[in-house]
Amino acid sequence: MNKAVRFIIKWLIVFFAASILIFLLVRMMPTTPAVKWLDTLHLPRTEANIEWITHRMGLDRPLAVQYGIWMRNFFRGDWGVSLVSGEDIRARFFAKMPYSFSIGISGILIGSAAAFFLGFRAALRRGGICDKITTVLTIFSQSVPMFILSIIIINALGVRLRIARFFTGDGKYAMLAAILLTAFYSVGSLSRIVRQGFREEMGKSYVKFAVSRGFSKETVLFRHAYKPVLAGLISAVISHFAYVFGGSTVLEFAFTIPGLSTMLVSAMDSRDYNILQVYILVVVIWMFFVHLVLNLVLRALNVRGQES
Amino acid sequence: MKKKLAMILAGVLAAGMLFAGCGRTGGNSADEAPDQGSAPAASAETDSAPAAAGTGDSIVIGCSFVSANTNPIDCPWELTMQGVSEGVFMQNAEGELVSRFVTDMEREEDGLTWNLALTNAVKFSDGSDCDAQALADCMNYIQAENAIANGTAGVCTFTAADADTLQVVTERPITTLDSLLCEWCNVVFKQVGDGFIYTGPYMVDSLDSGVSIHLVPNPYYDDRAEQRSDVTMIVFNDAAAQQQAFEGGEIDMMFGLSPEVAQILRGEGFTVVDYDAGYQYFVINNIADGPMADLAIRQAVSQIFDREEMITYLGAGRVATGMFAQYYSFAGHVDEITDVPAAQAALEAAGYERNADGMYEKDGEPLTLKLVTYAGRPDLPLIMQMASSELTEAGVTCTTEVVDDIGAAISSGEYDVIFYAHHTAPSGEPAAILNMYYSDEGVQNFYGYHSDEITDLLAQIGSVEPGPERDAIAQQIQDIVAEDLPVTFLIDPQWHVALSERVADYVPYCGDYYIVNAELGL
Repeated sequence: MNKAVRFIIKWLIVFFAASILIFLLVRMMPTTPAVKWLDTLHLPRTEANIEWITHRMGLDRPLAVQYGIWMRNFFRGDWGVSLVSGEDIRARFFAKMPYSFSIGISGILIGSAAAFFLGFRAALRRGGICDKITTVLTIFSQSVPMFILSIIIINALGVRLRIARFFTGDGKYAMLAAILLTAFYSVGSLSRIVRQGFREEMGKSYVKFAVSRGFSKETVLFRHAYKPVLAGLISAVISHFAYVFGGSTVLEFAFTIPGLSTMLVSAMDSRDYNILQVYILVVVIWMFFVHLVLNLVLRALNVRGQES
Repeated sequence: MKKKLAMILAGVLAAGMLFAGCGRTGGNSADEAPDQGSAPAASAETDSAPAAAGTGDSIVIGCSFVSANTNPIDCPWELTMQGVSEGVFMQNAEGELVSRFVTDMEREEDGLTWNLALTNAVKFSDGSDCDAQALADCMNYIQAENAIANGTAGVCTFTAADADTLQVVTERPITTLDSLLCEWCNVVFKQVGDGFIYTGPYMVDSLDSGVSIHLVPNPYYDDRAEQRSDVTMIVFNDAAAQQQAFEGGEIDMMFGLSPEVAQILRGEGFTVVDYDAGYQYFVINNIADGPMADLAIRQAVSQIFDREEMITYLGAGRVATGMFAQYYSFAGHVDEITDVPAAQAALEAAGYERNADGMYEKDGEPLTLKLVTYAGRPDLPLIMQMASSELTEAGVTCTTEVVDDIGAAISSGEYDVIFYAHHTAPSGEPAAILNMYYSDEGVQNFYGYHSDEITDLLAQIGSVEPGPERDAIAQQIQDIVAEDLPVTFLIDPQWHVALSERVADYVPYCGDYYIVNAELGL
């Protein structure tokens, strides 16, 4: 069977399996949305109250009917409405996406670019300053929680110096800080991958031969050995892209950025089934596109062909 | 080549900066799409960019939630909390019921029909009159759409008898129509097209559900509207972030301060005000099962609790004198005393002896209490830990647990003592909550408590008019509860709010019921 067809069939199976699983899982959470709603308003959990609000939320229909309606509407582009606010979920998603995507995608792209540069320099000179920086960054990102660094930044720039308003205004400082922090925390590990890739290429005969002919090591590596290294970097970045959804939770909380993670946590707190199940499905769709695009990029680099 | 690398890096950085720059701007325009049920005026105004929070005249408030939408059926409580909607009756700072709509109420002999004389002085935020017909329309809409509004008196019918009189017919007889009209769901509104408008001191300019709300003064509220500033309420999911925002001067008011944060901010020279919460902190005893089924144990435990110490730790509050905050006329007069030696003597009289570790046991079984609470009210885990220490020091073994769903914990019966918080007079009267906790069928009577005396008193309180007689009955019930101890009264709390210089004189009241009231910024 054609690879593309197999790829699509695999993802369709993943999509439907995930939809059924998440539909059931959210309904297995210990407290129902109706009870949560009553608790929020300090209203007694009487049968009449629960019955009324459950009916109002449309959760009194059989599960199969609820699932069928959800799927049918989803494919028609209607993602339903929030159980709590009655808002259109799709509109809500698209309103939140710019925040989370800006943080996630920009952070990863900047981090990857910086990692490539640093890793390249680190590979050229083992034990050099760049090599040491990559090691320090790796250890730092693994040992200092992002939340702590966020607080330090806010405290220094927002409270002490008062040169940045992180919580009010147009939010540019919060977004900028969140993007740079995301990049900063990905540079260390990615740069070690790049460094390792270039070190491996340096040992190969075509590099040694070119260097022996008088080309500088720097030129040979950068012009002729970048493809496999870049492929390794892209493969590592794929996993980072999964965190575009939900990965920025800490930063969204610390800087009060109203992104998808904030919405997810709020939906979990209120047991907003409709938002939760749509969220997971969109993550599946997102990962489908991430894999699709990055596979195409890898194919364009012709790395797999070379490997085979 | 270095140049190339630098250019690649610069390009990616530039792209990142571009994302950063358009992140919130792009989000805002989408977020401000009119919400379902938002006021037409608000919807129209959402198309324009709101005043930047904290940079202009806006008073910025940090809080833990804002209204999800502007629909009076979905979010009446939140809209009133934000100063957008008003109840027909509301509480003032003294806990009295007051109304801008009604001057007088009379009940007819049938006990079901009430005639309300109206002020006819209130206008909606579009300038239209809130007359008898408008009140009847919105109240009938609520009765039809919100089943919970039928809970107190059955389905009520509102009719504009004439321009100055609103007639209300209840399905069941009640003595406190003002309290009924103070209930959270009974807000005054007018439907205009697909949206709703209100009468409160502020109106919604833009709303980002669960994130922030921008309010502008309602020009028709009173003659001080021009003196009011815009208000922006921002939701903080993280207490540390909110504290930093306040310390950095980005927000003017910070609600939900923990005792530690209140102390820190005071130490830094900020204004932190304590105000009456209206909520009560108390203990629900499992009188159906386990050690707390024994009245002697309940009395001993109550005597071990050092309420003054708890208050010192919380930084504000008073020792509870009953089921209600002390500013209500029907507040109890119970005198809660800490007396550990007397408690220990009572335990020994009940057959408990100290073992080698100094802990009480009976027939080789240690006296062990399971203390449970929830994190939704941050003071509760703190006082539970203090209570646990006090009990342990007195010789009672304790385990503690903080749960997410306290309702489920109560239903399970897997507890001896639950630390609980409840606003016990949200509609300014005592009967509802007393019935809820102490009548045989009460929805909060989790433990099967029954008292003949209280049953009689509850029957009486439902038929007497508000006033000294009703208050005396409420106090009698609280006295009996203090003897039987299905519930142990603990603390009449005060909460902390941090205020910037700009709003340093503002004092909220009634807990989180009226965070934005008409006096804000004046």
